[in-house]
Amino acid sequence: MIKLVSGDGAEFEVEEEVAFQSKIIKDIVADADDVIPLPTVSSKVLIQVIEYCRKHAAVNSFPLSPSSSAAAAASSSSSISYSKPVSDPALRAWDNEFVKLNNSSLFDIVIAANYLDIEELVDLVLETVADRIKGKQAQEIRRQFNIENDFTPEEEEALRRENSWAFQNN
Amino acid sequence: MGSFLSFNRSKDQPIEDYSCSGMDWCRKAKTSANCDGESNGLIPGLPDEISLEIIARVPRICYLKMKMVSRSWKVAIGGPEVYRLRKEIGRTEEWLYILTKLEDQLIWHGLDPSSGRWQRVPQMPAIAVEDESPRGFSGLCARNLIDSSIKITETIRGWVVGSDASTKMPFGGCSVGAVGGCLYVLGGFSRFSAIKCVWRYDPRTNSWQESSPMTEGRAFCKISMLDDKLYAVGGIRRVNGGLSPLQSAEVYDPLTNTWTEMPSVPFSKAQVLPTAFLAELLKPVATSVTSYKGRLCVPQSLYSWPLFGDISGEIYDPGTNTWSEMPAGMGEGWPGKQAETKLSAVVNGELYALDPAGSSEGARIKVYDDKDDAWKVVIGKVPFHVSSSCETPYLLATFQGKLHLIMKGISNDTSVLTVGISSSSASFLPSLNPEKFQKAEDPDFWEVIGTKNFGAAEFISCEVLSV
Repeated sequence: MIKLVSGDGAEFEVEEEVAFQSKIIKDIVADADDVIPLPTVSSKVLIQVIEYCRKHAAVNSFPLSPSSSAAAAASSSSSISYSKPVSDPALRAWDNEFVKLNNSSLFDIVIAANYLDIEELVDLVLETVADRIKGKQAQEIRRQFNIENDFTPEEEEALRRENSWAFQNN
Repeated sequence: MGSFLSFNRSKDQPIEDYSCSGMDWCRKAKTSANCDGESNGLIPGLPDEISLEIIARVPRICYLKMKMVSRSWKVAIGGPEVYRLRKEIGRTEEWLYILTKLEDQLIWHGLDPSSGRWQRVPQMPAIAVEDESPRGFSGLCARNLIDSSIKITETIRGWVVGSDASTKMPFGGCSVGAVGGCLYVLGGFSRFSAIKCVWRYDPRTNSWQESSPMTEGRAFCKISMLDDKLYAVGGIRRVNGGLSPLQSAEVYDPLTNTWTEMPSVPFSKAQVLPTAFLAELLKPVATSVTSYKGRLCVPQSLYSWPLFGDISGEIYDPGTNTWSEMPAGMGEGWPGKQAETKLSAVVNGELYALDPAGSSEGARIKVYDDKDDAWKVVIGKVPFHVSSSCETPYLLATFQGKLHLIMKGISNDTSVLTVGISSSSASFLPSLNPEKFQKAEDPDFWEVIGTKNFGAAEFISCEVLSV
């Protein structure tokens, strides 16, 4: 068992295979002790991250079918290791449920996952947020992410013209 | 060993050193971004490095809208980092760009195949001044870009009929190509002289910029990309009040933004015309240039308006930097030599060309068999109705690794079709296989990936960009 300590002092005992979903924890454990302080990660976020790692550790150690494990092996041997789709449909469905969170929760998770080097989780959140941008008008994107419109009216008009020329009669 | 994204921790920094809370750390990351001279962060609550990873995962068709979000989004979408990330995570998108001409206006239309949506490229730079003002060189260049109503046959008429016709000649005759993820528009006529001017469209910034000029003014030159360089071959220029074909050729390297001269096209067949009279009357021209098996294939014709005489062609090998004669079967049989549009494409090493053929038979697609040195029909009839009013209703393109036919059908509807030719060289001779031959009659053989009505606009050319 490995003990993870969140920034707000909460302790979490997790199995090695769960904690080792994080490459950075795996590397630390290799040459240090089993208590790992994670001062930048709050307990709320750490609970979510552990939940994700627990699910993925379980599925990864018991692949549902030979074909899905073969696919995973094939994709992990490619030069770009991340941005690979999760091949198991049940796990993918679980992931889709997992990311049904508001943006700021997702941001906290992606920052923690990036810090802990959990590639699949980082990629999952990046894809989810990208999907929330896709097809939206600028105004909707600004509202969704609290982004300030810092264009002058003239600049905005020029961009509007650029858009209407590009997509006229579409 | 480092973290997944590079921003959060330097390699030698122990993990225990982080004593601030998550939010403090986050703010710190943002502050450091601000120190780098950027304005506001892209997404509040996220370091820009992560926001860029998100933006890189959104389809490119959304980018023009996303540019309107804020200044920092506009900068990110025009900048190199997002495109480097897209490449790294395998999100580079291949779009097809079709150049059309309507009322002397050239317009590029980009097709995003995954959404089937079209995005018009901004108009090429408009001229600032009507005529010969002192600052007019680039203005005159630009004028040529938006006005190309001239046809090469009309130009050739000028050579034969004399300067009378050439004085009536409008501007035009620019050529197009693509390299390094950008479109290029090269040369053309301006006030009766062929110009060197080159313009480049970068889809990342969605804008046109003047690029390095060619070493020589050229109109109607032939362009092809080979080994990430752009080759400009031949063309015509104005000499002593008449028009004269160019034998010279040059090559552009986008990495250095420079043009370098290469050996001139020999036109060796045209040098052996029996009489001086014929040599004066018949002008050799490169009718197209296609990169095939690492070399440039340049089919040629002898023009004597209104007549065409095929004189095979020549091949340039960049490895040896020499020209040699094209195999007779390839040169003499090259389909659609007289066409003004791009009708050849190389797919998986096989050279295809569309033969517009006679009006009764309809168009055919042929493939070059280099073992037999012969063009063989792969599609005996392009099974679509084509409006007769359109002069050049077809283009051929290599897109997403497959052969594509762009055609104008009933009521000016343009369709982009994936041609269901199996690409492995084992099925190289489908024309000999009756089963496959019949498949071309099957609507499933043609998959429509995009349609659009360009009105009465004519096709000029098409290019493919990966961004």
